[in-house]
Amino acid sequence: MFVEKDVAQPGGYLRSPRWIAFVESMAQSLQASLTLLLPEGTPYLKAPRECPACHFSLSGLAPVDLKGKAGEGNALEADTVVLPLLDGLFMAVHDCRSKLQLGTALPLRERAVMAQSLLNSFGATLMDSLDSRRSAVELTALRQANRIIVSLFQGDGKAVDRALDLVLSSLIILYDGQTSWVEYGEKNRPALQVKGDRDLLNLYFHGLTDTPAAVVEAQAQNISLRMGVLGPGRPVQSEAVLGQMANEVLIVLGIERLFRLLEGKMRQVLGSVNSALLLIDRNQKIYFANNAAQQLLMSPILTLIGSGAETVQGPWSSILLEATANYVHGEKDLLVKGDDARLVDWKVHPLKENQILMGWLVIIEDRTDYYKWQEACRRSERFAVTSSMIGALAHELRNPLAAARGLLQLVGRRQDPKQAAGYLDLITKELDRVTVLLNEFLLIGKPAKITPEPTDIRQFLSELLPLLESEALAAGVDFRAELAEVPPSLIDSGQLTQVILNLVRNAVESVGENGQIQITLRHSGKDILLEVMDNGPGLAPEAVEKLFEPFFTTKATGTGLGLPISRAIINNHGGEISASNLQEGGALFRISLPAFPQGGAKVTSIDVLAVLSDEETRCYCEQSLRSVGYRTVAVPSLAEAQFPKDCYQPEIIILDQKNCINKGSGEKICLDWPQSRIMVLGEPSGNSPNGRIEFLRPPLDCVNLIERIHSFLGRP
Amino acid sequence: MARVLVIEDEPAIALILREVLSEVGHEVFTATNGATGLTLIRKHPGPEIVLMDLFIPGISGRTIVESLRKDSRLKDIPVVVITESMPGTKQFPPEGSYQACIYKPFDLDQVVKVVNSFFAAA
Repeated sequence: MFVEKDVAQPGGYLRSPRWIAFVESMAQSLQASLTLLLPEGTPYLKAPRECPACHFSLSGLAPVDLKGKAGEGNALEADTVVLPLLDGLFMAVHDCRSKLQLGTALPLRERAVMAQSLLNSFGATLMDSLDSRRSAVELTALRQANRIIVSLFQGDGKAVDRALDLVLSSLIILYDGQTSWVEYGEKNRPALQVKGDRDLLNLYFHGLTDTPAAVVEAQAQNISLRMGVLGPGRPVQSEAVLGQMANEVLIVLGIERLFRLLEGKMRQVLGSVNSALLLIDRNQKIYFANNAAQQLLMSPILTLIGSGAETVQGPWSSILLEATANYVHGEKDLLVKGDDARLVDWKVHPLKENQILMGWLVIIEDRTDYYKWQEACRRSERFAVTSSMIGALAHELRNPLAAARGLLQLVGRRQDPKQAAGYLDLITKELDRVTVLLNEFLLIGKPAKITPEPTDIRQFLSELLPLLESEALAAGVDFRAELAEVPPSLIDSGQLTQVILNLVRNAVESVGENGQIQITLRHSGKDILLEVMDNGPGLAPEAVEKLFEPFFTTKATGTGLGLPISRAIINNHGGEISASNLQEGGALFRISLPAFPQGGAKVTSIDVLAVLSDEETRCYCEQSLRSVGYRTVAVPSLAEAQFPKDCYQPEIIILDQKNCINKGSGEKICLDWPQSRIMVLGEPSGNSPNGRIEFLRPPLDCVNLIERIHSFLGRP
Repeated sequence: MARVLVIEDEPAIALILREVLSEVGHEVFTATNGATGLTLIRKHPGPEIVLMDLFIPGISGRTIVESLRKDSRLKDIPVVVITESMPGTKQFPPEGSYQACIYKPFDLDQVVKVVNSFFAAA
């Protein structure tokens, strides 16, 4: 029981039981050992009193030592924080050394600062109330204490208990009570926390004592509680005070529940996700990273959080640097990870609140395994070496081997050296056959190293025609070619020659003397078609299927590998080869090849294409135009951006004089981009074909430029 | 001494078989494809034994054996299959329609032995 002694002199509250009880519950809540020292350095109060592990001696320490070191944090022992309190007092705080108390998440210094602020405000109000007995002022201090305790939440269940403990202690203090308690809970989580004399409380619950009690009930959302104080005293306004304390408890419990829910959800969403997540604020600082990010970026979460986004370089970095407000994503990009590089898919989502860019969510997925697997599949498809093909090879090899063996045996039985020599000759031929077979077979399996170059196939074929014609003529076969203009394609000319020769030779053989062969070249859509036709007997129905299988041959000579190899070569080029019969008789072999540029580069329409050789001008122009919302692409020269005319469809093209230096290049540009307006940064030179070129006086004035563009295109 | 027909498209192997069988006194005829082989079988006087590779151009070995068995005059001619494949694969004539099977690469003495075995009790 605390007996309040009115102490008249200043500092008298130091002996007040309320003060002492407050310090005691403070120490327990913060899980720290508090020692209060008088101005001269004498320790006069230690809490928690009961803790045997916390012993700390200040005896013999001179006052000057203390004053000099107070506030530095490492004054007396390595793990002690010393802070000044009101009235010249000091407080030394260190972690409770009891093994029963496990460490809290907050560092000691922070807890010490909290204790300092709480003790100071409580002390102030106590002094105040001792003068004026205003308990409402104390309540404010206690409410503040509660809020601080709540802020200690790290999702730790014990924090609730500590907060309630503080509240219950406060009740005892306020009411001069003996015992306080709170019963609370949601429907299926009832709990009871008691401070003080449990036996007395039990007596009370069973109606076996007439000790006066102040009790209140409160409820919010799903949580209900009953809180009370047992004891002799019953100060004025007790119900109001109790009610307000009950509300504080509800707030604590409500927050705890939300935190539980949130934590669960967060763990669900963020923790187990395999994608690396980074939340970046608009100052380019990382303020959240998940476990997957830690792994992928090889940097602990605690290091990532708070660092600038530039400390993790990746394919998304320039997006962040440009502070783009659009959703951007990339696939199969390289991310350096240690000594290795990973292939990642990534997305950058801008986070906006009321149209204002607040930050970004970066999601990165390591898809190295998937892409490598995909590549391996593609490669193995290309090779198309199946076990049946290997079986077929083995089959084919048996004949020359059997022949060589048999011949060797014969050599053994012949006396005539000339005959023996004849046999040995044959053996050599058979073994050579084996070598040829193996080499040709391996050609199908090996990644045919193609060195592709953009080629005009029409020209390539025209150069090949003389050779083809001569082979045909030598066999008495009539040869014709019809070659149309086609877009360029990426091909390895050596290998394509091999394929065409193979097809033409096959046709020549099957067609025989006086037959006819024709080659046509044309294009349909994005495909280039090359066809070899003959008017021979055509293909047997079962042959059409098997033609491209190794060792399938209808000829007496030949390895049966020519067509499979041709198919492998064409597939490597991303094309296809097929065989069929012509309606009028004869066979048709069709090769289709993709035009260059291939697949990925679609034609993008943009507003402005700026071709400026000077880097600063280029960046300035690009940024200015983008900032007002024009879709802009800037390149140093037309040659560098590969085939830009096939990739972009700009409304306006801006060029500097350097890129138009050749006479007639202006014309060429007008031809290449018939739909675009051309603006040249420079002085008019008199060459302005059909008035489509406009001139901008240098130096580049983007304000002026933007106005001109507005007038052509309107605002974006 | 018997008339042996060898149907084999591999010239070196056909040569080996002819050499080794004529050495021991047989009369050997060769055909390099199925059509010629069938013609020679039907000619009079035909072979007394046929050594046949299954993988020949044109008419397949299996077809030849089957048509042989259907012909009353020819059905008893012993056929020795010379091959790389395993019995039971689809190129093989049905079980029982051929009398022996020799695998490539073969041993010359083995070939002679097999052929002679059909004429042992002459």
